[in-house]
Amino acid sequence: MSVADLHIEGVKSEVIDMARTRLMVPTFLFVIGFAALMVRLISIGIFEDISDQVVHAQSAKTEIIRERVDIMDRNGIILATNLPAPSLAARPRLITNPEETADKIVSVLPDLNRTWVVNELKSSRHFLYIKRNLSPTQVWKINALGYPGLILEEAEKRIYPQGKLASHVLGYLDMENKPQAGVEKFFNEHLSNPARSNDPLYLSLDVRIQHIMRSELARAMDKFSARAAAGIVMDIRTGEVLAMTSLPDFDGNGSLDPTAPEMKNRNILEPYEMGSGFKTFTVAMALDSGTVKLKDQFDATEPLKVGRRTINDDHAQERILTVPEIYTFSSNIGSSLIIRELGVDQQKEYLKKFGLFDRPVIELTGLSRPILPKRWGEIQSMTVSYGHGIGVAPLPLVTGTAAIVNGGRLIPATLIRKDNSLTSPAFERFYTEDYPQVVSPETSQKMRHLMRLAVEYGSGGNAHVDGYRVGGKTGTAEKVIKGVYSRKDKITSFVGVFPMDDPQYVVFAMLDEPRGTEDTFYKATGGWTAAPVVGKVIKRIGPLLGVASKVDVAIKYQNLILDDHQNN
Amino acid sequence: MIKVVMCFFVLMVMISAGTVYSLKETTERLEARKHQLSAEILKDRAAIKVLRAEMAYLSQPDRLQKLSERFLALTAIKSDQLTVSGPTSSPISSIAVRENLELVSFPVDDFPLLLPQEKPEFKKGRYNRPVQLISYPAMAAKKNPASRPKTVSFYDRISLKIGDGE
Repeated sequence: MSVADLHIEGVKSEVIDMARTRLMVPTFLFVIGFAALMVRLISIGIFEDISDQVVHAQSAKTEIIRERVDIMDRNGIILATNLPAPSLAARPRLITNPEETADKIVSVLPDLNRTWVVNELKSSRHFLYIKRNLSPTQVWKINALGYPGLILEEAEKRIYPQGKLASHVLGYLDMENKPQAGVEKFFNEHLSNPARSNDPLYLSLDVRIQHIMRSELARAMDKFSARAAAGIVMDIRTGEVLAMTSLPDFDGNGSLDPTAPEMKNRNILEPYEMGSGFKTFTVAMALDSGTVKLKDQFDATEPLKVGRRTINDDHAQERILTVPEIYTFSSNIGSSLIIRELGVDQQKEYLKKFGLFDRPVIELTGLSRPILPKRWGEIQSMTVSYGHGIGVAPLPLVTGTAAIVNGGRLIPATLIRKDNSLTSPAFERFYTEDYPQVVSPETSQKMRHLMRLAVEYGSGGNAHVDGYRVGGKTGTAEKVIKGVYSRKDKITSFVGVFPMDDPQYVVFAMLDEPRGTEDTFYKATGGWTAAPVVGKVIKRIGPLLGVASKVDVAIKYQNLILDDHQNN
Repeated sequence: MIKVVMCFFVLMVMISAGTVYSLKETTERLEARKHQLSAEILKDRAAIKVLRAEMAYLSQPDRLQKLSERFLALTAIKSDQLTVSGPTSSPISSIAVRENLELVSFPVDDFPLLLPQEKPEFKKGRYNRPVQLISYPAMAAKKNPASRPKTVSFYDRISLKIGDGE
């Protein structure tokens, strides 16, 4: 059937035509409407975002931006980190019942004064802080109160989880989160750089060794009623400081008084007269320059009179002494005679080479310059030869001693862990890197024997530890009180090195104004007070540091020194 | 013919527009999920940070030593208890020398690893401080039989009542 069959003619056909024409209008409108919808659909699909949810999601942080970088010890144990510690603030105008709100706040934060809180909440200010650094529990409780007028502001607080343990090395932040001391201040640029927020700073410290050093020093300080104490453990092959303690110390988490005595890091801050510890340098420079041989003898029968001064021996032997004997029995007369042979200029030159004339080198702030004699004549050079009349901080003494023992290379101390992984051992770096050679390896070898001798037979006997071949030198210096040397107040110290056949670590301990006890026959010398501390520390850290104990080697190192053929 | 083609194209345009729309919507939903997840990861990381700080706080050597002295019968090792095994001084090769030992991880630091030389024998009288449990009141109450309520069997009670026991 075709369309033509349905054709209608006449008046009716006109009506139908008109109806068709009229129908065109809504059809046209419908088409336009759907076209618009389609255009919109396409445009939404291609050009526009569907929801405003996306805008929110994209503005969310994708990285933790911390205010400060973490500090770790060499094994990755946290020494300093940032934790969220929101502050409680209030908008007093939104608080309808200040008394009730204050009651609730005080019930959560009992250390606040209720009257003060009420007054604050009644004030006409728009915004005020009530308390900073809330703990997570307190935050939860404040939220549970549900007052719209109370606001918790996001904030971060520097936390030192180890408390007092490494406080002097780490330093602290003041109320405005500004670093005030220690590594925090020295590495502030690194630590406060948001781009490095996931790149913690690894120190060379070892928390365990730091703890051992600190506990042994604290025990000695208590036993000898000392005023203060300091201690260092350093790797002599790399210069890494494994422990650095200064007592009394502070807790970086609490509120601090920057002028308090416990804020001082005695290892770097205060120059002390170190006493006989300097004889190590004196003998080393005399042997190295070739002026003095090990078998040379010096007359220590009588006290030495130089000008108006008289130089005495504490452990007087009253006979002619060889160089090893002078060192072992810590003879002031002997070392004065040695330095007289050597001369003032050479002494100064060597001391400068050992780094004793400059500020100590380490990644800390507040390093002190040494106190040098104003006039350096013969008498001054003699007193300096046994560590009097010259004031240095403990750290340069430790680095200098390390240089003398490690083969004669002065390696600056560092607080940063060196990359001595198992694949690239530190030893390789030690032999390749260019450190200044301050004494010859042969002198270094002789000094090892001498230091071992001083512990075996001499004043450092209390530092002896079975199997660990400790060597070292004691130091006792009288303190200058009101311009006069005090007989009672002393600085005692001991620089120990172990194991002496292959020196690896230097351990230093110092006590400020120790008093003798019954155990020490009321003696307060370095040998009786500081040497036992070093001995105890070595006994505990030896196994931790992987130093194997050898019993048989000790005998070899006892006899070698008395039979020194290679020199003659 | 033209009408058919037109219809086909219009249909195609509509379908593709619809597909693009639905694709876009799915993408955005996934993206929102992604952001939600990364926000959760951030939250978890912050929690891990707090936990790590707490771990460091709780494992302060000073605290551990005190706890060990109180609760464990361990004493400090003596220097002759440890030895370096094998001929070389390298810690890793010295372990590898030994059979039936597998290296699971490197030591945390680069210090050579020492191995125990002899097994310390536990002798009772050796430790001046014997191991003691702390006394909790609850535990003491449990141990003390006097404080426990006396239970009388049913048969006893009955016989008491009827006076059969006499």
